[in-house]
Amino acid sequence: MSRAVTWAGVAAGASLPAVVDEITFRRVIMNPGATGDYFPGHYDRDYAQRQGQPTIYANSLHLFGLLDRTVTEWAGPASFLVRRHVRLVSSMYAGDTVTVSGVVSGKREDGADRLVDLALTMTSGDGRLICTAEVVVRFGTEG
Amino acid sequence: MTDSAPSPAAEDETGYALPLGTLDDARAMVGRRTPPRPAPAEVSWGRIQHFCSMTRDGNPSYWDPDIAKELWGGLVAPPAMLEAWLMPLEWTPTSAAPEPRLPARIPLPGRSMINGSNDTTFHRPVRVGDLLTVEEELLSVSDEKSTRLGDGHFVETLSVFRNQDGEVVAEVRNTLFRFTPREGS
Repeated sequence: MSRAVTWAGVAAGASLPAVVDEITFRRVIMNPGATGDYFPGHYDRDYAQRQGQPTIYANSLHLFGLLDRTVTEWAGPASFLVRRHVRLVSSMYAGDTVTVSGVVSGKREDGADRLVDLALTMTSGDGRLICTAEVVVRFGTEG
Repeated sequence: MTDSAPSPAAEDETGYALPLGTLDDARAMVGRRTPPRPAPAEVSWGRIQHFCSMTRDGNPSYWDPDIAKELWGGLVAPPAMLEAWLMPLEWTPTSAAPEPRLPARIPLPGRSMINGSNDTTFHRPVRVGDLLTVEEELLSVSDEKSTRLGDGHFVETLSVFRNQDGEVVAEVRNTLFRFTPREGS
């Protein structure tokens, strides 16, 4: 994987390359298998609709995985996620095409640690806000 | 908690047999930490591949043993999988119904639940072969609130994850909404 950014190249206000992903029914249902989370809202459309949801929705771990992927594809494989604070606003539904966008909100050094603060948002194709996240990522020692 | 065990929801469809109870029942559990609960099995590369295949995450830390060894000393798990390692199995030879995690054991009126917010701090990587344990604590239960999905309570929990060496790998503050869906929605 080519490194998208170096520490020297990180600037507050810069945007991360957006990640766009099509959330098919198949992928929503892969998630219980991958995570062991068999809550019925993640595979049973009747249950989801009785909850007041239009259809099945991904669990939080799937959302976190897409947020984290957006961060580490930008910061490189040597980066380490230090903190991720997510506010779930609506759900990521089967059938959604989601976009994760991110902006650098700050850059700082804490001892030997080189840290970047990021603000991420995930939206659906029809403009629904799914979640927001504040993330702190530690850059690797090289680059 | 009261002396009598809270009754499971009469027609529970969550698969968790959510215990029903009052706000006071729930608040009586605030502040007590659960004993350490071990994961059913070690962190495995197969599950990592399954998850990263779903999220289309090509980070070589999860896929390439040589690069991962150089960067981390070995393959690591995506941070998003933290809770996955502690998910209870539906059945084991010794227990037909392993106890759910703490957020699904709080007695409250709501028959359903959905996640609201999650604040996780990661201290060190989770590696293939690690055996994690978690300790959990109920931090707070809100007064009744009304949302688009229904009326219910916000349940805030803290989970502390350790590896087999006793090192804290991550701490999670999570808030979920425990509610009864609106009729006719």
